[in-house]
Amino acid sequence: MAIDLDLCTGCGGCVVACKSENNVPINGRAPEAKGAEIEWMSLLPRGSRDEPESGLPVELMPTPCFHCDNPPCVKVCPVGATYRNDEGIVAQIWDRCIGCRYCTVACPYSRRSFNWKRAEWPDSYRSMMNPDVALRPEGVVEKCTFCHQRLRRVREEAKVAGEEVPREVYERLPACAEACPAGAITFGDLNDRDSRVAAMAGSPRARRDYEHIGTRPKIYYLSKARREFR
Amino acid sequence: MNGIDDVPLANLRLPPLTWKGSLGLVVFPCCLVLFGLWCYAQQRLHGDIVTNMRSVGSGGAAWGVFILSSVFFVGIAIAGVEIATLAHLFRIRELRPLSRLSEYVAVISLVMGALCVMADQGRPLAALRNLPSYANVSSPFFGSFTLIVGVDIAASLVMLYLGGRGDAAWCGRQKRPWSWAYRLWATGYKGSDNELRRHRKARFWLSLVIFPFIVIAFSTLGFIFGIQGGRPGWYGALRAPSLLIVASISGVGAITAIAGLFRHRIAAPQMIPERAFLRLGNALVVLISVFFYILLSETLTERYTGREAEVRVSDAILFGDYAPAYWTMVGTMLLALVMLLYQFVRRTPRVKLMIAVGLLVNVSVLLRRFLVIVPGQTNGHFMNYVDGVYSPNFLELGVLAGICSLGVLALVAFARLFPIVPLNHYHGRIVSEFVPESARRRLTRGSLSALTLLVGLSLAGVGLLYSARFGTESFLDPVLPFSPVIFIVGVVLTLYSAAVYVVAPPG
Repeated sequence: MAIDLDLCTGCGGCVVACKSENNVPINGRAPEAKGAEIEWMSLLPRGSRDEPESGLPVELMPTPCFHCDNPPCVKVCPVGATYRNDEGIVAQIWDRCIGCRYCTVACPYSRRSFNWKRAEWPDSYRSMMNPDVALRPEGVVEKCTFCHQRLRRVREEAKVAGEEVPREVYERLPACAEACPAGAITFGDLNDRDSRVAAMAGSPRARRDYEHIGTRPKIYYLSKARREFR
Repeated sequence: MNGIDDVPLANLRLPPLTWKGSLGLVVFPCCLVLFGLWCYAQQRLHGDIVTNMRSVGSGGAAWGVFILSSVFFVGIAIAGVEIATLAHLFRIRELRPLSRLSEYVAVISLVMGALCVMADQGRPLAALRNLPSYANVSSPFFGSFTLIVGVDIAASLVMLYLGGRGDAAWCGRQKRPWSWAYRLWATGYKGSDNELRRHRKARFWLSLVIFPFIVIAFSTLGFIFGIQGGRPGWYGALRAPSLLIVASISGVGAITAIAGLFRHRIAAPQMIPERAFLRLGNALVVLISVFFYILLSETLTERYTGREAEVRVSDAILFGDYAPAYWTMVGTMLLALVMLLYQFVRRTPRVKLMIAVGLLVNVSVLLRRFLVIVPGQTNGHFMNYVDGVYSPNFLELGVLAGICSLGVLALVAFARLFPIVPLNHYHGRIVSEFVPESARRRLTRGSLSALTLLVGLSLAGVGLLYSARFGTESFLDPVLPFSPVIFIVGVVLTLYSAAVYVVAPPG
């Protein structure tokens, strides 16, 4: 995935779309729920604390799971409830998770959420639940899946039709990419050199977060205002 | 020479409790256990949100008091096994009277550690089902689950079992309501020269195997934190050795304090010689010195290199929200060191001082565990998350108090029912005449032990290979179902071959 921060307006559309598509619980604003929020896609500020003297504008970064090529969360999971599939997507088996939260503390980017209580939604949301995505029980960890249910659907439809899935379909496939009004989020196969996402990843504006940790994340951020990540 | 009946074994048990003693050592712990159960029920009914733990990145800590207590208790257990094995390996006479207490404290602490881990799990029933089925070698938790919870308990139990058979035989001959249980423990025990020799041999070799084994097992606990490159404050090559040193301090301190307290209560205090406390005190001087050396080198490394995230964690510990805990930890450990040095210089064992030292170092070690595990989660994020602070709430402390009280009850029950000092090392034998063993019996014994060892090693190897997903992709389930359990059974059988050598063939 490539996210062009120069295009991103920080509207939060990706966050809302993600919540809606993936039945992400809405735990409310009660004081006891503080710190128990579940977000697969977050808008995180960048620059306000790290470089107050730099004079660079504060960027809001859409931040999903980075689906690392060398994911610490996968290595530490004691029961194999999370794994990196053949396509490089870091997947999660909800039902196998025992809720030890080792993956959440091992993830350098803290992109995994634990269900600290039974999932809740406002009543008005209940009729809009996505039947393609399983609801997660209390006590398990969940995270962004790159909307694998959408990926599976387009592939199955293409298979039935006896066609290949066009590259353009992938580009706006995840809910966050589809909802982005500025077209800042692009999805695709980084190994496909002709894909748009691979071209964006090769841009001189592109960078990856905290590459020195060795996780090899698969989210590329594009920005003119380049910053060194520590 | 003394027959075993002449030995005042009854003097080495905790005497009957007075009503004050019953109130403090039975009624109060029972109330705390009930309170702990109620707290845990709240956690299960309403979710882990009733605790003070929260998601990493929100300023909270996803691992809190349960995990740090688990590391603490396992550390005590490791030191318990260390004392017992070292006493046998190096024939340290002063430490032998403490070997049974050490083994028993090890068993209780391991069970308490396992209970703490279970209290932390979001889905404990799923953990009980999925860990035996799918546990993966790539996770340091694999080592904790298999080696510590599974095998270390078995190792401590077999040491306790072998060392206690002689005394159990004596207890079994007393007219007491539980005498059948003692007789079961001592099944086949005659106390002949041959048997005692086999006992000594088996315990020596068992100690030789177990000592490096527990170092490896406990290191897996250190690796849970030390190998996480993405978690500033945790990552470091010294994390596992440091955890082991700190575990040894807390374990030696705890066993010293418990032994000191029991020594005041039993009718034959001279059976726990004062020199044992001097020995343990001197060992603590060395361990605490190494601890300060490692602490200094860790702090220097964090601050000198100046990686921003590391420095933020270090700032929080040294000068920020966690500073009171840090400086209390340093202060209590320093005070303990000064007290120990006083004893060292005077060359006179002081039991009461050692009890105080044992308590002080454990307060310090608990804080150390807290400072290793918590600040790295609440501070020093790579991403722009808010910093925070974690402290346990009353529900978490209630569960922990319940678990600790269970430990106290188990310890008191054991000390009431069984001699806490292994007397048979000094006196014990029932049949004093030497009866040579027939060649056929020796052959049967050797064959049975070798067979158990061989089967154990084979199962351990197969279990480990398939737990490591041998022959498949790493994310697939093990080809052989329940491979982690097979590994545990294999290692347990390997250790139990020593018991087979002593016990088999019956008759």
